Order: sequence, then structure tokens, then C-alpha cells
Amino acid sequence: MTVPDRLSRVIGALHEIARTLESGEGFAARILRALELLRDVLPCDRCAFFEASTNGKQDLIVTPAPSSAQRARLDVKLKSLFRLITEDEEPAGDASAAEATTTVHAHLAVPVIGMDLTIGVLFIEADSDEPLGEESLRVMSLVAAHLGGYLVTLRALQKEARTAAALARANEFQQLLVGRVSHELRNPVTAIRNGAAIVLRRTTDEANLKTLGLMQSCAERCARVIADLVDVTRDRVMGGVVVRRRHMNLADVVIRVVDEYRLSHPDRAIHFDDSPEPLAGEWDPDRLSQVFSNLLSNAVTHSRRGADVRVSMRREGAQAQVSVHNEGPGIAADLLPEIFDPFKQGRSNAATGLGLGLYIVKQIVDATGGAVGVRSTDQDGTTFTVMLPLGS
Amino acid sequence: MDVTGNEEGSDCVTSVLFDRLWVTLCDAFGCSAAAALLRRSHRRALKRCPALAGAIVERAGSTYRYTVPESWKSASSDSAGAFRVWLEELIPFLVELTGAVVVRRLAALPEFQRCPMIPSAFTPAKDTE
Repeated sequence: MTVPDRLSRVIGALHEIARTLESGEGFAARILRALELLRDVLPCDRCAFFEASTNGKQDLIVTPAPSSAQRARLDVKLKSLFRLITEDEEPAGDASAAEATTTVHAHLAVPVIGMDLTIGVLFIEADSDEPLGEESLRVMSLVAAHLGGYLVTLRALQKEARTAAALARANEFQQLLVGRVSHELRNPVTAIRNGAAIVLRRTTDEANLKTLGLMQSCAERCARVIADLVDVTRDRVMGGVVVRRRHMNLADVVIRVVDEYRLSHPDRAIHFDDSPEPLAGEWDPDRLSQVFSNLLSNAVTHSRRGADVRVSMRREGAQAQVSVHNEGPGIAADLLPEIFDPFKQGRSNAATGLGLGLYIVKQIVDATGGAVGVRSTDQDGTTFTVMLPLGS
Repeated sequence: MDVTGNEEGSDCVTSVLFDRLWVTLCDAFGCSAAAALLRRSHRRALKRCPALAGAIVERAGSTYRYTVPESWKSASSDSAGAFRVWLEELIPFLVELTGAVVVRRLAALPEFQRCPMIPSAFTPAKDTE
């Protein structure tokens, strides 16, 4: 065979090896095919690849299919070569110069490296007395470099898939746990809250009134936290907030929520400024109740005792605007940009829940196609503004 | 191993010899494998010759590079001695992997012929293929 012919064969084989190692599907068969192609162009009788995985698994691929004795011999040989490269093992014994130059060395071995990690050994062996030369070594090195890149990419993809699966399992478990625990706690907490309210109405003793009042407010706080947890968990399980739209008047929902808060907080002045014109749209009344309830709860909780709270509605172009305002103190300026993030509290010393209320507000308003914003200073107090698209 | 050549001349600059070694191994095995082989033999040589601590072969981003001690940049028997210890660890290892192929090629390089550090048995470069 002429040199150009031989060169052409080698280039053809390298090209075919590169194409073979383009996909990770059936990678063991692909590596075997690459070895076959390599054997076709090198003066060798056997071609083998030994791979050691990071989890301790070791694999030997040989072409042509060896006898069991041959396989066992190659397994020992390649394991030894791999240990020689990766550990401080002594060379097997043919390390003397005299021996090396007189004994026929009818094999070549090249480390296969990927991302600076020794992955395995590429090995060829000839039965003839002709020593394998430099040209074979160069071709092997090219294939070894390609194999190293291929295997390190495969390992990274496999690791990524395992990590994604583990995260999905952990996430599912977390959602199930939170959902289940919240659900199991909701009924007993409701019973405690209602029981405290009933006994509170029948009690005249000052000391008992104080204790029962405390019990009731604690139970209410627990109920709010549980409701938020159930809500967020449900939305995550469903892949986002589910909005069930129907035609409705905004005032119906806002007035009902304001009335509820006036009843539950008789010591607070909650003002309501209705819109001069009716505001109607395609919205979810239950979800909007949740939005305004959370905003009112926030306003009542975070304003001074006795301070006024004001809810106002008006039309703003093609949108309905609902504002919930409370007098100071304001939200710290550095917290404002992240006030709608989960588990954020406007003021740490007034924390009354998990910090999910405003997060839920934003999720619902976003899912409705609206927007929510906040302005807050110590002087002017805090105003949350919800914009909702009006119906045609 | 029978390593001959204590009579290397004054132009035997160890950094030059190391560079020839590095280029030859990169050409034969690829630089990532060359780095693995050099580091493995360096680990063993370091136990016998602490002066080798200043020689480093490392990955730098997507490529490999080496650093040799400043003293290797001029001819000195100390640096040649340290390099010889490294070669004593490396050569049996290369022989185990490739027989005489790579070692003969090193021995045939003019720099190593002027500064004989490779066992004399490898000196006649007669590869067949």
C-alpha cells in the first residue's frame, strides 16, 4: 500500500470514529465500533479499551471478541496499566533498558484523559514479532483524545440527569410533605380558633379574656400561615396559579373583604373609597378576595395600632386600580425591590407569618394579567397598588 | 536502570531538555496524557529528590503548561541531577506503555544526544513500521 493510500485509509477511519462517537446512545457499541475501525488501520491483532468509572465500576471492551482466557489476560494487563498511570505502582518488570530493547513489545498503551482525569487506557496488541511503531502511537493518541472527550461529556450528561432526577424527587417530596402537614394542621387549628372565640364571648373575667384573646390571635396567625402554605404548595403542584375567570364587579369583592376586616378588627378604622364608575372584568373572585385580604392583613399588621387604613378604587385608562394604604412606618428601602419574593418580611420585628402573603398576591395578579406595585416611606406610609385589565 | 552520561556539556540546559521532553510526549500521546504521565513520574521522583518541587505540570483552562525552577534555565549539575531522577521514574513507565517507541525518539533528539540522560540501550533509533 502506498503512503498516500495508507494516509487516506487512516483519515477515513478517524473520520468514521469521530462520527461514531457523536451520539451517546448505545455508547458501549459505539466504543466497540471505534475500536474495530482503529484495528482496521493499525498493524495489530487486538484492540482494547479499559474504562474505570468514578463509582468504581470497571469495564473492558475488546475487539475481536476474545476467548475467555484472552479476556482474563487482557483484563489483568490493562488494570495493571491503569493503576500504573493513576497510582504509584511499580512498572511490571520489563523496565530495564536491556530488556526493553531486546524483548518484543508488541503492544502500545495510551492513557485516555478527560477533563484532567484519567478515564481509562487504550491498548493495541500484535501477535507478530514486528514492534508497533510511532505512527500507530500517534493514531492511537488521536483516538484516545477523542474517546476522553466523548466519555467525559457522557459522564457529565449522566451526572446532570441524575442530579435533575434527584432534585425532582426532593421537590416532589417537599411539596407532598408541606401539603400533607398543612392539611392535617388546618382542621385542629380552626377548631382551636373557633373554640377560643366561643369561650371568649362567654367570659367576663379580665385575666381569662386576655389569655383567650392571645389564644385566638395565635390560632388566627397559624391559620394564615397554613392557608399560605397550602396555597403555594397547590400552585406549585399545579404548575402555577390557576385562575378561574368569570365576569364580575370588582367592588363586590373589595367591599366584602373590607367588611370582613372591619368585623374582625373593630379597633381599626378601615376606610373605603369606591370608584365613581363601575369596574367590571373577567377575573377570579376567589383569587381576588385572597389578593385584597392579604393586602389588608398586611396593612393592619404593619401599621401603628389605631392608624387608619384606606382602600380605594378607581378607573385608570383600560385598567381598574385598587390601592391599599396604611400610615407609616415605611418598608426599608433595601427591602422594597424584593418585597414580593417568597419568605420576605417588610419589617423583621413585625413578622407574623412565613412571608408568603405578598408573594401569593403577586402570583395571582400576574396570572390575572395585571400588575402590583408598592410605594413606601416613613412619612407617607405604604401603598400597595393593584392594576387589573378591565373587561371590554 | 542503567542511565549513562555524567559528562553532559556546559550547553546542557535542563529547561531546554525538559521542553524537548514535553514537546515529544505531547506529540506522541497528546498533551493531556503527557501531563498525566509526567505528573505521575514527578510524584514518585519527588520522594527521592525534593528539588523537583519547583517543577510543575498543570492544566490551565483548556490547555496544559509546565513551569520549571529558575535554576533549570542555565546549565548546572544540580538541575541536571534532579531532571535525571525524574527521567529515571519516567522512562520505565514509558517503556511499559509503548516499549522503546517513545524513549528511542527522545534519545534520538540532538539535545539528548549532546546531553545523554537516556539509557544508552535506547540510543540507536531503529523503529520499524
